[in-house]
Amino acid sequence: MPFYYQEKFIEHNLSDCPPKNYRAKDITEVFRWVFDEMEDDRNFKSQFDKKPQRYLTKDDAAKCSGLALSMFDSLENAIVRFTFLKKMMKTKVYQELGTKVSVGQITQNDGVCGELNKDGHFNHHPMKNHNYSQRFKIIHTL
Amino acid sequence: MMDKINGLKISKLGFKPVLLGDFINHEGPIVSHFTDAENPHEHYVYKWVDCDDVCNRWLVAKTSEETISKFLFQQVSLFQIINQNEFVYLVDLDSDLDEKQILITKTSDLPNDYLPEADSYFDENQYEDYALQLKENILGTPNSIVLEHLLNEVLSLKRQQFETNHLLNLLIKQNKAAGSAQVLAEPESNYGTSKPQ
Repeated sequence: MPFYYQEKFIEHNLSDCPPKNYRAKDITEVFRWVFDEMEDDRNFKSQFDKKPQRYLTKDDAAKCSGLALSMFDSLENAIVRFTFLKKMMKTKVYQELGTKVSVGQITQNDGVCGELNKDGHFNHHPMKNHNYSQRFKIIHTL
Repeated sequence: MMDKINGLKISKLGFKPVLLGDFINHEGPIVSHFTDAENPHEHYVYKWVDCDDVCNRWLVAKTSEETISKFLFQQVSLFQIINQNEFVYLVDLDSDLDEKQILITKTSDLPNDYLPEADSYFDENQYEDYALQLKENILGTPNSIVLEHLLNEVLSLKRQQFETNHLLNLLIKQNKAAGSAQVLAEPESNYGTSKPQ
């Protein structure tokens, strides 16, 4: 099965996207910021698909990263990171990044994941036909 | 819809921006570090502040290499970097990175939500690798401004400690009749102050 953004990888000549060190993983619980309702179509939309796109450069690394979905390895890390960004963005953070934390499972068939950052964040490139909006559920209000 | 701003519309920025790296990024830049291509010693911080269906709005604050160094060593906050400017730019960029509008506005007139919190200090656990590398590079620079400043601070503190101990010892000796006071050991004098009799 191709990646969800396979056509974008080809259209923009992103031959190193997803990065070669990304791996398919089974993770019982991953956490992602979403908006008020799971039906909100912004919830699992990458930066590339958003209007407007939030970039300051359109080099290949930025485009590839912009096609990934941000995930966290724990509820605590998802909250800590949001709290930090709220310090930078104040109430605009809710408009731009989300209002709730959702949790779901990722399997090796769902895509590939990057390395875990020190803040518990990792990038995920999903496969086509992912149905994360149905599989994830809201568990916390930010 | 973006917040309404009182500002002066201009046709182009007063500098040629060159992106050095992202300080903070989450599915795209939040705070980024720029310099002027024609004046590389002039630095700028771009902070995301707002958006509508067409553009993202960036607060652009001028700063300096010295201030960036102080920021990375938590001597100033991002809030202070922005407020050191009486005026800032607000740049509206569309998805193609075209400048659809540029405003100059008084920093004091900015909506509260456009400014970070006052305690927006550098945090190694939350900033991008670019910021950590920049800090490492500063530490590795032999004549860095920050190291010089820190050394001056240490020397000043040592001088103050010596003078304080000296005064305390004088007081103790004057009250030696109490019998229980202990003279403090004085560090070696490197500052030209004569030793007590």
